[in-house]
Amino acid sequence: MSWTAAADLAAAVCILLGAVLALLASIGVLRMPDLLSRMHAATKPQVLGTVLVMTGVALRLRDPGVVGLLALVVVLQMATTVVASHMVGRASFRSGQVRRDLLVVDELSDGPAHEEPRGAP
Amino acid sequence: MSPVMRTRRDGTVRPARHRAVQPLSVAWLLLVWLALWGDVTPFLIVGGVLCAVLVSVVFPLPPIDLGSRIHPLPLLGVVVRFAVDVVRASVQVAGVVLRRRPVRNAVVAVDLETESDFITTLVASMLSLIPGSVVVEVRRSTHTLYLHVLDTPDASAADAFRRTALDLEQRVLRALPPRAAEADRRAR
Amino acid sequence: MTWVLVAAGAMLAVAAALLLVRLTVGPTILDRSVALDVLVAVTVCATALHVAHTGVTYVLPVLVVLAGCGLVGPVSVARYASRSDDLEAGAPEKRRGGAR
Repeated sequence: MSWTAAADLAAAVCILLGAVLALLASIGVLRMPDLLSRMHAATKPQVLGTVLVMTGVALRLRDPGVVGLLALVVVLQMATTVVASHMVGRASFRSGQVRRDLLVVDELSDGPAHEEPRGAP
Repeated sequence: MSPVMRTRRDGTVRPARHRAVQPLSVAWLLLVWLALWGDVTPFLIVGGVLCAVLVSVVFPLPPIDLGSRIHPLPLLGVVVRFAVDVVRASVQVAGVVLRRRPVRNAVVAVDLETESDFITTLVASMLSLIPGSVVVEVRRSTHTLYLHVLDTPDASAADAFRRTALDLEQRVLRALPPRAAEADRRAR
Repeated sequence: MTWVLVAAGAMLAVAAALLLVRLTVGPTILDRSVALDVLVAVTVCATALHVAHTGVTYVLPVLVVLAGCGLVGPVSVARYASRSDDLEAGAPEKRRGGAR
């Protein structure tokens, strides 16, 4: 087996796995009972799925000029997913839209009230 | 982390523009520029540096002080462990998604040891991508993270997760020890 | 290689359909923004599959822009919509009340 065939095989495996993870992420977003658990599904398998698909595409194209762009996509995806999930989670918690019956421990609501000075992140 | 202020001749106070051009951000912008062109030639590098300096001057950002020195080998360890954790996270969430049992969650407070905003941000971002947690709230004054932990059947599982988070912070601190702490250790 | 791409594309299409269901069902605007975020990621993956199929690389900067701008939607929604009526509608106890 030549190395191009091997690279193609690896690319196929990566792309398929990535697509499966993207599918799992969307099933999770549909099936999970409340917003905060949905966000777990939206952040983790989705990021790994993107990484795998980009790896697969890089292995398939085998063009050094493209690798930089694909790495940039992965880095941006990781950075933006984290920020977006944090913002959405914070907004949902602050608006009190949390299924308390699903929480075993809740140290944010049970803790002493704490006023953060305005302007703090 | 406030920008360096400068009093101008007419008495107004503005952030100093020239401080916005920092080597780290210029290097990052140059990398993005080269990635977009998909090629490395001397002409592209010169153009990229010019563009990066122009962007930093036109859109100034406050300087980022890492406030820590870098230990390459532990840093590599952190990165490898992080990659393994991302894969484990995906498998865990996939398992939770596919099983029929309803999921129980927890919101856990984790008091970080570090005083640095940079380390707090780094640990919070990494925790968002590793198994089990999404950062719900950050309290900057006490450096406390509130994490939503997926799939915790009881309180002991929540405690176990708190230890995982603190372990991660210790690993990050070993890789990027803050300068002041380093000096303390040497003085002792 | 072609059948792999077809299979992956089919899975991404199913994923997009499921996300559209969540996008329609809601119940709150935050759920919709999360679904939209994942939908952007699925779009990025699908476009990458197209690149792998044709070998045409000039679409790749579009992927960079999509990956970088995917956060604008959820962040601005979370920032500005945290006190809207839509959020109240999603709270479980009020949904059952039907007092609106």
